[in-house]
Amino acid sequence: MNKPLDLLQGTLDMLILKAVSLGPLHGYGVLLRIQQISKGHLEIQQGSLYPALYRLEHQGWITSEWGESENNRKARYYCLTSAGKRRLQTEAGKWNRMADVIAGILHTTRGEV
Amino acid sequence: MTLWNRFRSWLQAILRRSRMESDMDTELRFHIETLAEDLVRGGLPREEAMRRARMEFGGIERAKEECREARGVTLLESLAQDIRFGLRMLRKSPGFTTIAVLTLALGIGANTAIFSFIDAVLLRSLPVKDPQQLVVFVWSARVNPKLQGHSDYGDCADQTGIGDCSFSIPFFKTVRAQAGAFSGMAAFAGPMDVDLSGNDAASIVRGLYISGDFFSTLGVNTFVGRPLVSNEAHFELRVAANPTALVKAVREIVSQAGDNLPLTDVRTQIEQIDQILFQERLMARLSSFFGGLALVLACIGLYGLLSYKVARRTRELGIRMARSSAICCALWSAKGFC
Repeated sequence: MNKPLDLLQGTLDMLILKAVSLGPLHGYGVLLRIQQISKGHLEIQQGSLYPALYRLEHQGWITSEWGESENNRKARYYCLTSAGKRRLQTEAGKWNRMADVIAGILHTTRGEV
Repeated sequence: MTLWNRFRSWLQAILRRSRMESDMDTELRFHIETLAEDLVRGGLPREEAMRRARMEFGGIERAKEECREARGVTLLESLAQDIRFGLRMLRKSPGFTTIAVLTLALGIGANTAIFSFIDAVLLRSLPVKDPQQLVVFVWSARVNPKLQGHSDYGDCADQTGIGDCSFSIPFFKTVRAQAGAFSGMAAFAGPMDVDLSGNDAASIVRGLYISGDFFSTLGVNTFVGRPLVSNEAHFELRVAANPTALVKAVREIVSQAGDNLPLTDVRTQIEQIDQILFQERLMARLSSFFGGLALVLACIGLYGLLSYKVARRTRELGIRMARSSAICCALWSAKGFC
């Protein structure tokens, strides 16, 4: 298996929003879900996960409340707000456009120019 | 909405600081211990699992600090720190403190003086020729007289209702005939709403009833047209469209009425108002200019003083920076609070 990729600058927020949009998660759950969806191809710095969560909550895109985890412990669960949902949509749209443009550039062959 | 959210979350973080800290502790500990449990399930011994979990997480204190930053808590704390530092430095160099305070005081004082002058000269004084010589007649009575149809022009009405500045016309005429001590005397009633109508739609304006010598007594000219007591004709036209377009038509009408009637001084009301306000506007601009100048000069004085201090403290700044206090903080403390 290939070595996991480091996350591109600025994509962590979008991935967190996406992970949380699939259902409420605690911080560790966010980490697991992103790893699971990416099939282990993405390496996330755990230390930068919580500042990102706090920032997103500060901006009103996610909210948190305390609940009980699957191992019967007190854990803070995050879920997406409606503002966060809109934010995720615009971010995803921007990302897709950017990816298309870059892919288009990289696929250009000598004859096409 | 998000702005409000940010403010609320910031306020919560500030006010319930210890709550935020303990929440953060619980949350991070949950993360690391759950990760360790997963590792134990994968076959690692407990101790080793905890060690690995901590290592994978990375710097816990750094993460906490970044979380606080995300909530905007550190901003306020560093501000408080700066203020404490500033006060300490001000105490340490009383000479500098005195000069800085004096410079600011002079700047502010000069500004206050300019604006009090403007207030007294331009805003408070009546716009008449000799405001200090102007008096208003007031009567007062022991018992409340029955008054009917009198002008209750506001300012001079007594609180008890047994004094006012309304007089009957015969009384006014008698006093005016005998009052040699005054250079002029005039009467007025109002203000009241007046119906102003001509060929155009009628409109309601505020007006005063005045005696014929009102303008000459006050020594003022009218804004538009001419004062009363004049045998010249004066037209005022109210139009909805561009007023200058009518000048030609009016000229024709006037010349039809009589060849010997010269039509002079055609101006739109906006032009007239501009002309009247020219002096006030000039004064306003000048005063704001000089007010600004006084503050700028005070600032330049302070800046010079600070530059001198910074130049003298270059060595200390070097040490501060070398001791990894962030450059901006060192500069900030040097510029702001020497």
